[in-house]
Amino acid sequence: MRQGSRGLLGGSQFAVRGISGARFSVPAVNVRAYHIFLEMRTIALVALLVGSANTRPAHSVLQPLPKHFDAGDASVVFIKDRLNVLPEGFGHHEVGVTRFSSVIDSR
Amino acid sequence: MTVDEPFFDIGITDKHVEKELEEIANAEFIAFDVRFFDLIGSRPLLEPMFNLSKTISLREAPVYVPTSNLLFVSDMGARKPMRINLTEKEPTLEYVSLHPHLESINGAAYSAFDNLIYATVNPSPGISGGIYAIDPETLETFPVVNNYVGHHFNSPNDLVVQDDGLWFTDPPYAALLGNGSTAELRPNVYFYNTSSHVLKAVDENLQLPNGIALSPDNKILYVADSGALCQPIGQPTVASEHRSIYAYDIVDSLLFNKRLVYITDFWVPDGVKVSASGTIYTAAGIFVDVISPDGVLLGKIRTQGSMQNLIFAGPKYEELWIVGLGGVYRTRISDPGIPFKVSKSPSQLRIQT
Repeated sequence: MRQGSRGLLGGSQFAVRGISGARFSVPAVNVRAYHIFLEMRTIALVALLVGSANTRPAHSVLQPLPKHFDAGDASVVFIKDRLNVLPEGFGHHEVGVTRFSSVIDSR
Repeated sequence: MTVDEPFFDIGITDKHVEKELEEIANAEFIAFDVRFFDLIGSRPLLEPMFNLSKTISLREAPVYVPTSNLLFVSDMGARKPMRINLTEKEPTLEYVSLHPHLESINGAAYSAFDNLIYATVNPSPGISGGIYAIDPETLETFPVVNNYVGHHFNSPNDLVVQDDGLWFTDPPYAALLGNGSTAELRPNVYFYNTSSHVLKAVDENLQLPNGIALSPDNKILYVADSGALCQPIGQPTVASEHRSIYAYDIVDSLLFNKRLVYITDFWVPDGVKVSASGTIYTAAGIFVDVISPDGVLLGKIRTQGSMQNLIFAGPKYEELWIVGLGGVYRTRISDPGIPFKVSKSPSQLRIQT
């Protein structure tokens, strides 16, 4: 459909033939600016992806009730993943943590 | 974290999780497994009954008598049983007297074999610890077995009936509670046959044998070990001791292949009951833990008291009654209990003295 190539190299007109076959012109894109825009968009997308990968989703210990289940007036909850992973630092008490290096050092 | 703290009281800095834990703390039914929803059924109910939650009294030994649709519960504080009539639209409660008097009934089970309630009774003034029978109609009582070849039992705790056989546990709770007794026997699980009168110890390797139940096919015996309560009363629970449910295969009234099925995360397993589906229910402090036959925690029913025992009741055994220090609860679930096979009419069944 693209009829002319001059515009791409700095020309001001970009000739296009429409579906009906009639020729018409549209302003040509500034290729250099467009290229910079593409690069910036790519950088932004990559940054967004990297950022989202580094951001952990909010920890949750509940999950939705099954759709078929009608709790009625009862208060019902559904534990997620059997509570197998809690956020670090959980618990009231200091839990003994074995530091293998200190064990080795003390021998 | 100790075993005297429920899991939702765990300290957490994550605000989102902290909010969820508050939601869990206020829930009546806590599912850990999707199968739990089928067991409790849609629109489950948990009802505190008879406004008993404010009265401080240990309630134990719930037993359902299908021939009269009555539920008996031992009220240790009142030192007499409660009788709950389930025939009325709203169950009614009355206290009854036994003849001769029995107090400190800690466990009970109905025997369709001879239409009697068999009860495990702690020692009390004038009463040796042992197994006693109660006629549910006349409320007459008589001793069935109160010693092992001259040795006093410790404090018989709970029992389950298998035809003419009684399986029961005998931990030294009375001594732990400070009654001054000295153990004459190890904490044992016993089997007693009401026809042959044979009494035999079948496991002597539990710390504090407690609740006891049979699988629907009577081939597996479940026994709770609440050994974590081994300290005198008032002392904290010892997390490193037993809070376990074990299963055994039964062959010729002997026990084989003992294996660990479950440990509680909170408190200890007390009363144990099994539904017709083989699901295990145990009273464990504020919770009733619901466990699959292969030992998977399916969910918890949360009460506002400290629950000791439970029983399936009602004509279809679809009511699960939970009793304990914080009152009496009824919950309607979709996992009914094991129906009794009553082969004789009550009139044919009389107390044998």
